[in-house]
Amino acid sequence: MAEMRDIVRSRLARKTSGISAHPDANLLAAFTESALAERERAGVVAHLAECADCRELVALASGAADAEPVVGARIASTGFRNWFREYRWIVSSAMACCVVAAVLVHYGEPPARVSFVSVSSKLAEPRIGDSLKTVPATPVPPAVAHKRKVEAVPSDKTQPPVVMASKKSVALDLLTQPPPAQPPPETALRVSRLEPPQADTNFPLSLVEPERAAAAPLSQSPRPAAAKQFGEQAALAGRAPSFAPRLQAAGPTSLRPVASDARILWSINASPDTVGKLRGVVERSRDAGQSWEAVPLSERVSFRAVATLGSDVWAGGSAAVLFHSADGGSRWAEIKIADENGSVSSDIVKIEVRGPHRLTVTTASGEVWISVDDGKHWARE
Amino acid sequence: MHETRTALTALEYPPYFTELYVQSRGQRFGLTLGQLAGILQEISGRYLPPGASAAEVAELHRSLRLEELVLARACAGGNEYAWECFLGRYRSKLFAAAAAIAKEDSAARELADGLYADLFGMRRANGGERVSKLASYTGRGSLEGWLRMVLAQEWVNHQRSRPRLVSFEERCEAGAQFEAKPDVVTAVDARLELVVDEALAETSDEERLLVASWYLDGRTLAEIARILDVHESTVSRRIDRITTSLRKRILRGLQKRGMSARAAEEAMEVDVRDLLVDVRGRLQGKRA
Repeated sequence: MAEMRDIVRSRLARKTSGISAHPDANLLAAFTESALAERERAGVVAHLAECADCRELVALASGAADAEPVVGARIASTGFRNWFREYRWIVSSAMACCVVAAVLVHYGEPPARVSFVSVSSKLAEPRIGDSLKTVPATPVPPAVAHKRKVEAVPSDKTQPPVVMASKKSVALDLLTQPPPAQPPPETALRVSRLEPPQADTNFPLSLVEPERAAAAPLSQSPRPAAAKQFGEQAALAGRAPSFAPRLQAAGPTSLRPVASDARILWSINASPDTVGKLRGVVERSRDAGQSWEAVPLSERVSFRAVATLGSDVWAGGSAAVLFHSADGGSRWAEIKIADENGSVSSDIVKIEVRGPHRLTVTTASGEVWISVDDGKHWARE
Repeated sequence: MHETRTALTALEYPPYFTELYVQSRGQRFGLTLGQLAGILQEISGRYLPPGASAAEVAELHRSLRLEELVLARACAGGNEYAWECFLGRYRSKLFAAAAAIAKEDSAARELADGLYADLFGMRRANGGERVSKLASYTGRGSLEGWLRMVLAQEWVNHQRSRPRLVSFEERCEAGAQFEAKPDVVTAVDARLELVVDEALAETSDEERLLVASWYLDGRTLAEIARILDVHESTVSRRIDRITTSLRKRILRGLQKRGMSARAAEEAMEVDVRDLLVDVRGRLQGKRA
């Protein structure tokens, strides 16, 4: 058909002479809008078939008509169909965004969701055997850690309100542990909970002091982004009106309610000024992690772990140095970890408070030291 | 606004004129029924033959865009309120259409400004009276469509009035061929041209418009579809059908004129440059 194109074109070009008078702009405009009667339209079409100039005009005007909707004859077609045709990509994008958002809401959760909620003190005292479980700290895949979430929903106003602890924060602790060679293989991260323990058997749990926990509020463990550094361990402590903790997030940190309304969170290098620094600094937050203040314990020690139980705060780090405060961090005393056979020489990488006066310290060399009298006497496990 | 010539008295108005006057909302611009009647009479006299029946006249009048017609005529008459309405309604559309036609911002603004001057009537007739282009709007199509058409006409006129400037480098690069006049060659076989003309004459006007737009103007299917207000696929199908039909007619015509089928096929494969084609000369001759 290629030759047809050339032949027809050549002959059509020769037929441009002797054409009739050009229709005026009114008729051409009416033709483009299909507003002419059949007789007039036929006349315009006959002219356009012969007149390249008018075809050019009509083509230009028709092309310009697409710039904006035409008033008049075509205005009737500017309904929903044209609106959808024009904005269908916006609709499609919005639908795609909704789907993505729904998926994220369903399967994801914010990096560190924390809620501090005061509840009634009428909550029944939990029993240790009911819900506490300890498992070795094994690396948890992020995807699994993301999905884990424990929450307790009150049935009415007399019951504790929703207490939610993001296990992702604990998983982050797991993931931000020192390299596997450094911590001892039996390193355990702790979470205490009062809800059915069998629901999360793979999740690191730790014992908590139920008597004191029942009389004290629960503080969640916000994991500030700054605290997500390798080798860091965070300790969180909070105060609230008396209510029983449903869950205490742990990891290298322990979550302990204390006896006042003031909530205090403990961590290592959680503030923006210290995050990522090699030297570990014990820090505490009195505003639910919004701001952090360094606790000047020792300039020569790089702290690696902090743990709390009630008003007791324990912080340990390099050179086997362990500090203890029995009054929520006001006064500190250095504790010597040793028994008759020797003392700790390597860094303290983990502190576990397993109950009143009961303490377990893990060193970088894998040693585990236990004290049952608030650190006065120690025994190698 | 200046009085429009009327040939009818109020008693001679057809009954539907009152209805049209209400529809036109001409009272907003101080237009009287008599003035509207004069405008309608002028329009019907322009588009209908002298012996047109009253029904045809009424049909034409009823098909007019009266509200826009009245607005345009009021603007042409210098009614400030009408101009306010016009600018508010068509200013942005006019610039958008100019931009679509000129495809360049400064040229589009110049085009639109030039048209505004013509619409306002900066040019004066011999008697010193302003002549507004809006006075030529007859309401056959929408006022916006008419404005686009006038814009397109102005743009074509503007392009034609510009001298064709060629840079020295372009002339050098073009070499001798640049200055070469097109060869006027004779057709290889005059029967081919004759048969093609006959085949084209047998097609309908709309088919010729399609073929001309596609083969001669090189317009896209989308452009042709916009012109004819049909779908692109319809245009494509019709062009294919017309081309096939033309080919058959041409082959049949060549065979009627003594060519064998093979000779006719070979004639169809003739180099088009051997045909008597002089598009530029045709255009120049037509313009002259």
